Amino acid sequence: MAKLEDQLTRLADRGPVVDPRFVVRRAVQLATNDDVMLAESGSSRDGSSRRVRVLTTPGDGRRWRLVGAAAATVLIVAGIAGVFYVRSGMESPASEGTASAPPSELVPIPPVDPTDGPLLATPVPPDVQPLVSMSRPGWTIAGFSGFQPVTAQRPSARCPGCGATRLVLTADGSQFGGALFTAWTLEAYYDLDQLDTPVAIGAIPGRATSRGTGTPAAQSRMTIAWPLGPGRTAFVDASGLSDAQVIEMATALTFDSEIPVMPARPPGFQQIDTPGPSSVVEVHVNLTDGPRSVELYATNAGMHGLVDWRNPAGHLMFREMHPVVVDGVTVVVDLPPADEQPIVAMDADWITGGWGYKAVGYMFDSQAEFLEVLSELHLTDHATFAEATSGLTPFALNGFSSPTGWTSEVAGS
Amino acid sequence: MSQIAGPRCLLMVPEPIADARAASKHPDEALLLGLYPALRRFAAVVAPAEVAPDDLVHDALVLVLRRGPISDLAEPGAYLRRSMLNLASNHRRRLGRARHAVGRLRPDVSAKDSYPSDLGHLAVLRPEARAVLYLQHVEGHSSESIARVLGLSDTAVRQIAVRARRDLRDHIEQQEG
Repeated sequence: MAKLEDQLTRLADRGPVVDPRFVVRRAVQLATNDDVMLAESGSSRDGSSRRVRVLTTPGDGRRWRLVGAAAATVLIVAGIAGVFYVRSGMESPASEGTASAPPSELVPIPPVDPTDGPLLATPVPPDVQPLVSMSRPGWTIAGFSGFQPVTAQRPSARCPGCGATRLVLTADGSQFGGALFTAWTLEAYYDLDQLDTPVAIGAIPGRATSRGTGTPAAQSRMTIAWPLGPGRTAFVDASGLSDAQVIEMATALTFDSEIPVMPARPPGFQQIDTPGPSSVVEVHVNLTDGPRSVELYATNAGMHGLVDWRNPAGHLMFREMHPVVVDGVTVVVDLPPADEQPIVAMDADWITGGWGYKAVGYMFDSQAEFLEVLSELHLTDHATFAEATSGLTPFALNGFSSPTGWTSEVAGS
Repeated sequence: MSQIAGPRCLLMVPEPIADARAASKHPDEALLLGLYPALRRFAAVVAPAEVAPDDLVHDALVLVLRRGPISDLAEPGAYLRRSMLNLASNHRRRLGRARHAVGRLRPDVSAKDSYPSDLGHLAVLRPEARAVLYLQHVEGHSSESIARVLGLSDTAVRQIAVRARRDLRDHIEQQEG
């Protein structure tokens, strides 16, 4: 381990030393310059490359000549793409580099509606906030994020899988424990080169990224994008299916409405319809009892929230999940390592009412114990929640200090 | 394990910044100069070998500054690191395709380093995996803290770390075998 630390340290110290003031001032200058869009796209108005490089790449021998050729290829492609973007008046491809979203525009905070009942089984409308408490003695709230708008309300070229209202098809009767197929449209141009390999959806060329080939089907995941026309791109995100199956299903989609439609679904697949809220908000609560803890994330977008790319706890397609029934509610869980004691971390996801929930349990002795604790999570009223969180400072999930509305009231009360 | 009691200060702004802040022209400049050394080291870890670390920091700064003042961010260090990581991943993908294309044009050209280094092992890892290992082993962050810096779940961080160490071990064994 010491060797790894040493290697990482040397890697961190690599390269020539540059005066930070030069880099920072150049960045500030570029960011505040009216011409920044052109600079970012790699082209000036006359089409020549003008992207500012702070350093030249150090080179030694033919490896670097090869790299230089490769980099030149990249820059030429970027330059051409830049000209295309600028001429089309579209978003710069450079801005697609950050999946983390900019400061979100705050939406009106929905009214708090104190309520009661088990969290697992009590439907909470998407415009009402679930306030959580634990009936089991010893458990306390150790942190919470408040009720805040998600960082991207609609899909964008920067994060096409964020905030999308999708067609969701599942392959089993327990809603979302097996194969998942989702499709949606992005009303913008998307740089397909973000994905790895070329594919054809019917006669239309697109690109795809496939992960987990050769592993059990439920662990595989494929993302496809292809153009539907100028300024419109189709997306498919699927897990638990072979690449050929995903492409076949993608080919069967129609895009006459805002949400894609699959007129003839493969046998066994059913469509999941969950209400789409006017504005998507999320909430996070962290509960602890000694070494054990539960992180609970909730998004008021139902199924859409669980497959959303910005789900702070990672969406369903990241791993193999198995359905179990807890208090009459289907919960999908991952299987912890058989020899791990206590179990370091395990997930549980479910949908009730307008909310999609993801709970991560840490340091439980068994999965059964974790699920038992989940069944003892209750909805509570505003005053009780405020009392349970007094002295805690709500934190922002999206990296910005913008939790507003009742969160501030709770913090200040 | 995950006893988060409030927002964590993931990247502390050093003390001397208070003095420098008064002397700077742009309101964010002093803050950025304070963050710079840590950002630059992180960039050196996550960036492909072909990309200079300072260039990666520069590009991330431009992107983030275009969206608003850095001082508006609750955790500017964490946000900038996430931006750099995303940019590094894009660089890696694009350079990979370019290398593949060049290799097809010049199949006789070997891409092997003439001066192999033990740091080359780290290049087999994805930028995200290098970031996790660096934050864990060099900066000493907990997995929860790393999760917050990189915008991942705690579970994902643990998985990435385990897989990264396994991939490194496999790669080294393959090279030595």
